[in-house]
Amino acid sequence: MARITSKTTGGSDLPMPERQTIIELTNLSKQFRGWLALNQVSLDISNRVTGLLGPNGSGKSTLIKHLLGLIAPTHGHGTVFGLDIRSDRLQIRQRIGYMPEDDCYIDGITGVEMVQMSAQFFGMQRLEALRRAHEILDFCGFRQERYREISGYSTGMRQQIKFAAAIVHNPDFLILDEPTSGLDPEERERLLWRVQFLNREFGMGVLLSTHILPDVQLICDEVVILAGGQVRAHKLLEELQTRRQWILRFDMTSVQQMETLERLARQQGFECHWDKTAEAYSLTTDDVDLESVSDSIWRLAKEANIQVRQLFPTEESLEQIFLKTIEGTMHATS
Amino acid sequence: MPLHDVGYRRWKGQERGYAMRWFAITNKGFEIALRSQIVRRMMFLAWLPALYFGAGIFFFESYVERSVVAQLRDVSEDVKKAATQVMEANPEKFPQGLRDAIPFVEAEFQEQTRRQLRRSQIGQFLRMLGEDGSEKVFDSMLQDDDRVRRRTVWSFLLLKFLRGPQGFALILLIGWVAAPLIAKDLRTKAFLLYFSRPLTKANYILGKLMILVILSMVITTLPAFILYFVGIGLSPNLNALEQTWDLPVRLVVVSLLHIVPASLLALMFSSLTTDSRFAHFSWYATWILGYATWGLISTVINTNFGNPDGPPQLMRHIPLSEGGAWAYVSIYHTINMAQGWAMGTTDHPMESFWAFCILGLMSAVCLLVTWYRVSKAVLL
Repeated sequence: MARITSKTTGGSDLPMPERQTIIELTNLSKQFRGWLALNQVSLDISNRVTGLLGPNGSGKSTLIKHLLGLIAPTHGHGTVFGLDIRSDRLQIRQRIGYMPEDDCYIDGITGVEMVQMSAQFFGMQRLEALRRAHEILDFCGFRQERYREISGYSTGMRQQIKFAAAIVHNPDFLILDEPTSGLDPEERERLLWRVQFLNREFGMGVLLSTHILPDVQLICDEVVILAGGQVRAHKLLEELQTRRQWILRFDMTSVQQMETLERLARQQGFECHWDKTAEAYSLTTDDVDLESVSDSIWRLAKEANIQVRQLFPTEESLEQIFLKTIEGTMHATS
Repeated sequence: MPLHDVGYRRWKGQERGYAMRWFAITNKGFEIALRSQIVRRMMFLAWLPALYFGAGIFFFESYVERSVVAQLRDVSEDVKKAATQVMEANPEKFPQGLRDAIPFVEAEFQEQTRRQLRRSQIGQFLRMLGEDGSEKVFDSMLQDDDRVRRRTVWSFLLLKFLRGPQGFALILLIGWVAAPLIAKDLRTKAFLLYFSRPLTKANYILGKLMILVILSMVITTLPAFILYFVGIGLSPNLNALEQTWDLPVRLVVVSLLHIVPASLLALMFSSLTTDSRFAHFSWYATWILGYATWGLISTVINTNFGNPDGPPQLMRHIPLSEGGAWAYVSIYHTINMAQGWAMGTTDHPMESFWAFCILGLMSAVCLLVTWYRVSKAVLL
């Protein structure tokens, strides 16, 4: 059996599991007093590590609450493990481990008691739950602090204890809501590797809702971007990051020349953007052939009569992809 | 790294069904409550009155029943029997008119016995057991049937025990323990930790309710049971068990009549705030204000009660038609009325009926409010 211990920070080298749909949502909508929190969301989430991205108010938490059966959709339907989210709530929760975003804890109990209690909620006998709680706390790197009251824990420790409580019953699917917020870099790295380890070694599907894009880049296989209650993108992370961005710097030039360049570039299928920070022009394309793209750009520059000083390709960052995807939504504050 | 750190392993044990999962909440809540020194002290002190009432049962079984009352009753019986025998043996000397006087003679002897008994300390003890000036216990002692005597005295004694010191202790304890039960979960946003697990709102509320029910039963039903078995142990023969077999069942019902509505009320207060101090305050204020209001109203009514031959009867039972309905402003008195019916001691079944209706309505409202608050908290 593969082992990861409290000292281990490395995840697993195993490839991502073969895709199997676990969550299937069809035209799911939720309306709260005239406000449409989810709008015709159709989605299938697999047993891989899926990152759920979206600005504040995009509907991420509402979506998760639907999956857990905490709220019922206004329209549409969904299944988790083939179980209906309206009628089979308890059976679904039995197979899901959920780590909430909020700084929530049960007051007056110690860390080990909280994990034990969680295990009991999933149907373990009291003593068995205690044994299992200790096993999971060892896995999560807890030592004597497990016997302290949670109210005295730091934010990072509370995050870790919530994670332990979420995986204590050996769930088939994990929903993690902002799992790394409040963690120091080392703890963050360990937690993310544990998540990936559970996915790769034990086939535990993961839905990782986060604002921290590097977390997604580190462990996610697929990315779902929600904005304004709608799914804006759902792709493999690799697919999202295949777009090439060309950074073009040139000598001082007239507005007319720049407009000409932009017009010609758009005609060729480039996305054009003036990057103020880099003081450069960025041209983005799906074409992966470096030689042909660079030839095209040189040709465009010549036609626009622009003296190119620097031209180099980069990968479009997830942050840029994210910002472009949610562009135009009301709540783009992230 | 801990020596026994085995990494992550699949759990392959047998899960329990969904029905008893609330018990984890109750179990842990009970443990947490008992960690408080104040709660432990309250529970210890709540047991002390049992000694006093145990002494009461001992006094009844070993002294009252066997000595003075029995003697007085026997004298009355002896006189009645002797008179009957003499008259039946000599019908020619005692015409029919005189024989018809036997019931009157018997009544006169009973009245004299009653007067003597009333004046004695035992009489005062027995009258104290009755309520609102009722002489039901006192009257029962003049009955021939020891079943009636024992049942009546034990019922009143145990009811007095549950209503008085245990009722008071219960109010103090529930108020202290219940206030943070839901309020703290609201403050620490613990609802997502409960309801993202296979728990329903009913499981959650039942789990919290049972913490209060178990704690309360430890200080009410359990000592009452022990008192009952002390009485059985002190009684001269096992007839006592046969005569009073239903009392343990009644004790459970009487305790629950106090515990369940009170616990639901306390949970409702707890669910209305994130600061448990407000729940504490609301709880104690409800009981004190209700008790004081009815105390004031009943005193006013009884002070105005026309009694030309003597002072006003402040302890008199006030019928519903004379303003007795105001008793329902006090939850404590309302519960008492229902308990009286359950223990079989009340002479006013209509009042108990309304008390049941009010307690049922109050419990339902408390449950609905708690349910609503919990549901709302899950959505936040």
